Amino acid sequence: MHKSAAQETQNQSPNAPANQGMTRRNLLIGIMASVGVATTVGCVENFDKSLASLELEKNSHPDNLRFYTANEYELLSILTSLIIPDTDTPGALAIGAPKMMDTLHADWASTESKEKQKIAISEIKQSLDKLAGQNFLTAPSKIQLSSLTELDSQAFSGKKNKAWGYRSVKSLIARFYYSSEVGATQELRYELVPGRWEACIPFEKVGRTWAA
Amino acid sequence: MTEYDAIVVGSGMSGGWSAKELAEQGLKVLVLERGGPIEPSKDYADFVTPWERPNLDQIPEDEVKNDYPIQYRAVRYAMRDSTKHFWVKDSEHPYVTPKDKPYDWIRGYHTGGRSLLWGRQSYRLGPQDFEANIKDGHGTDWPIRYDDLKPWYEYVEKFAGIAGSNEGLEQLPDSIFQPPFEMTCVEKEFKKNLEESFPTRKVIHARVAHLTKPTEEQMSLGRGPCQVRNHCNRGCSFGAYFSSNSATLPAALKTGNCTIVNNAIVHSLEYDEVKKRVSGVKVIDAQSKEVKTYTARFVFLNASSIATAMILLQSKSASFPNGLANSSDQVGRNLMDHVSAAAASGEFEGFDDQYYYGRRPGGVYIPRYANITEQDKPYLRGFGYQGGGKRIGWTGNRPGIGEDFKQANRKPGNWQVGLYAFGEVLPNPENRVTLDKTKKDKWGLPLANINCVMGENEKIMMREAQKDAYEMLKAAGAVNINRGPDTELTLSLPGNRIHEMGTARMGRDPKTSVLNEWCQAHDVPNLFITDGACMPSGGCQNPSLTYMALSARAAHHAVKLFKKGEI
Ligand SMILES: Cc1cc2nc3c(=O)[nH]c(=O)nc-3n(C[C@H](O)[C@H](O)[C@H](O)COP(=O)(O)OP(=O)(O)OC[C@H]3O[C@@H](n4cnc5c(N)ncnc54)[C@H](O)[C@@H]3O)c2cc1C
Ligand code: SF4
Repeated sequence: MHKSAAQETQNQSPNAPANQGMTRRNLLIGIMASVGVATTVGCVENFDKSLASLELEKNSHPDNLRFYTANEYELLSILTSLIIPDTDTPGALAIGAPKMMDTLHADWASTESKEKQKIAISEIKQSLDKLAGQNFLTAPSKIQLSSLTELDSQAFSGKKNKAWGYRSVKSLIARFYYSSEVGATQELRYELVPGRWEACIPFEKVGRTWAA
Repeated sequence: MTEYDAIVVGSGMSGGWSAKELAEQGLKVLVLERGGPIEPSKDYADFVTPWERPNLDQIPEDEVKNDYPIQYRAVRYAMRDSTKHFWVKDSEHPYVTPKDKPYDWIRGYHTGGRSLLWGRQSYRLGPQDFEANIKDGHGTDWPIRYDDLKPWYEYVEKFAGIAGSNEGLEQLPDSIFQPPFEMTCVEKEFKKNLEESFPTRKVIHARVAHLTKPTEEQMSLGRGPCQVRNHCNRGCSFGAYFSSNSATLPAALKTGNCTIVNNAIVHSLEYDEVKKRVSGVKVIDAQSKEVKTYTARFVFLNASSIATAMILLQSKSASFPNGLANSSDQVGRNLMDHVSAAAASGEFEGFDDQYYYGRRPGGVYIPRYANITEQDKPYLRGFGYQGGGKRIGWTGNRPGIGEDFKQANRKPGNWQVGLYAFGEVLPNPENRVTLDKTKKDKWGLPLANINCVMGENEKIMMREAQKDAYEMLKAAGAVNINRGPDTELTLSLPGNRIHEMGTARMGRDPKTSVLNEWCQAHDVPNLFITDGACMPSGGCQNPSLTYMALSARAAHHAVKLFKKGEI
């Protein structure tokens, strides 16, 4: 089924302050979701209390990581939540992209790819620390957002190889997101069994990009 | 006493047809298949959604490196963790090549062979293809002409089901078609503009072995219309594309005359020096390694070109010390494929408000024009282009973060038309497969030693095809064309187009060919070969439809001889 136009118009404007305030909270929800604490974003409100305590404890990482260190995972979770945030559809953190990436590197990646991923993450961290002028992980949300915005624009303006680490991590987050049920069917459009071929139809009839 | 009337070796594209035709005419048929059985409910992955499998359904990298390095480099697009069982493990099925002459031998060992995995592009050869060898002197003359095969093309197309459009082209004769998958608006625009600029060239619907309007016969086999998912290399629970599994084998089994034995690796054919006939088929059980001989009045080899040549070379006897049916020394020679390298794509503007519904299997095709409607070419023979026009999808490789990024991906990218050439490869006796003198597989069979390279004509042809692709896109209105006319090209490795052919060619003269006009061995009357091995030349069209027609034709001839007691 296609979503109605009304549902689709509820988008907040990009990077609005309201969104930023959400970032860390959403990040924590995502992390919790990925370790099985919460499975739907719908019941967010119920978790406000535990979120607060989690934040207090600064213990925002699952302890069953198989590839990333806690710090790497936290960085990745922030990246994920900023690159593909919750809007009128859940974002990449909500669908557990960091956890999927942890599993991917533990179960799928060769030693070489594992090393490359570690290098990519560490390069991203260094760049972001520099742009933030402080430890990116503990920087205020606003600074995190502006640093990442800057890193992203650098990565896509200069030479490609310069920013391969960031670009490859970003691509991977996108792959997991748009291949997820939320990404494919709520954010984009997907039909497992289309059943027919219509070669040329007005774009509005589909309304979004086909996920596959 | 023979146990069976006929033995068919291999259950793939050609073997399925041989089995069906022989069984339907009342013969007791045994199909020997080296791979295991396929159970759709267990083996097909066509209902797997993108989010149901971990790790994006990718095969672990170390596993790829250890077990599938060759298969994966050639067909990574079709190899997922959920479908890897459709492909051989290179670690288990090695072969030898000279270091500087890599070859891609891409295959799957299971019931149905590569009919389960193919791209389903289905084109007849044209009259020129049967005359090419005699005209330019490469290879030996085909012993048949287009008109000999025409009724058999019709025969197999009716049963298989080919979606396509009647175009009336001499060089690419029309099939019996079910309705084509309509062109996208940009493909229509591309076609119009291109045909205006190049009156000697045509853009037509791809011809694909998909049911768009199934017949009673097709439905009675449990086949249904294509659901437009384009996931075909995961298997199709609807039986909507042609495969041995969906079509020919069910038909053969329905007769009650056909038995399939799996895990039966054919080691060699036994030869009776007195009767001058094949007397038995020696088989190794892939699992128990038990050796067994089956007997029948005649044998069809359908193990695919390279495997068929190996079985012949492996079958040594007093009369045939260099391999069965090999008095011409042509067995294993003239190994052909198609060649690719030329490719380009460009964007089309002005259709942003248009999109499509469904994932169409196949796109458009530009039939061969070189040395057909245009004669000024610095190379022999020619090529066709497969292609298609669709919108670019979402990407993580774009600037922007946050809601901007999400918004940008909600809108599909530009329309893009891509072209991809498939060229003819000239037969060359030096391109050959032999049995390796020392190395053996885990069943004790000698490994294939494949020595094959692309030639000068192929290079020149692809260079010109690249120029043509660029010019056509440009003339048709494309912008941002990704590869220019002078792009440096790397030819596809031999084997990489997965159209291996020629290792036991048909011909008029037993001194220079292995098979006669009925795909029957000149040397051994009760031996028939109707996989790609029999092809004296390859044309530039995807070849499987031709194997089907040749198999059906040969099977009918064999039944005639059988009934007359001649074999
Ligand atoms: C990804 C892909 C895309 C393709 N796309 C197209 C396309 O679009 N159009 C087209 O025309 N063609 C296409 N092809 C090629 C097509 O699949 C082959 O031309 C066709 O399957 C060959 O038929 P065959 O009967 O010779 O061999 P196969 O279909 O490979 O069958 C051979 C069978 O013999 C068995 N076998 C092998 N050795 C032995 C032995 N010693 N004993 C017993 N059994 C044995 C194998 O297990 C197998 O089941 C494609 C192939 C692939 C892999
Ligand atoms: S696209 Fe058609 S033929 Fe291919 S798997 Fe889907 S239904 Fe089957």
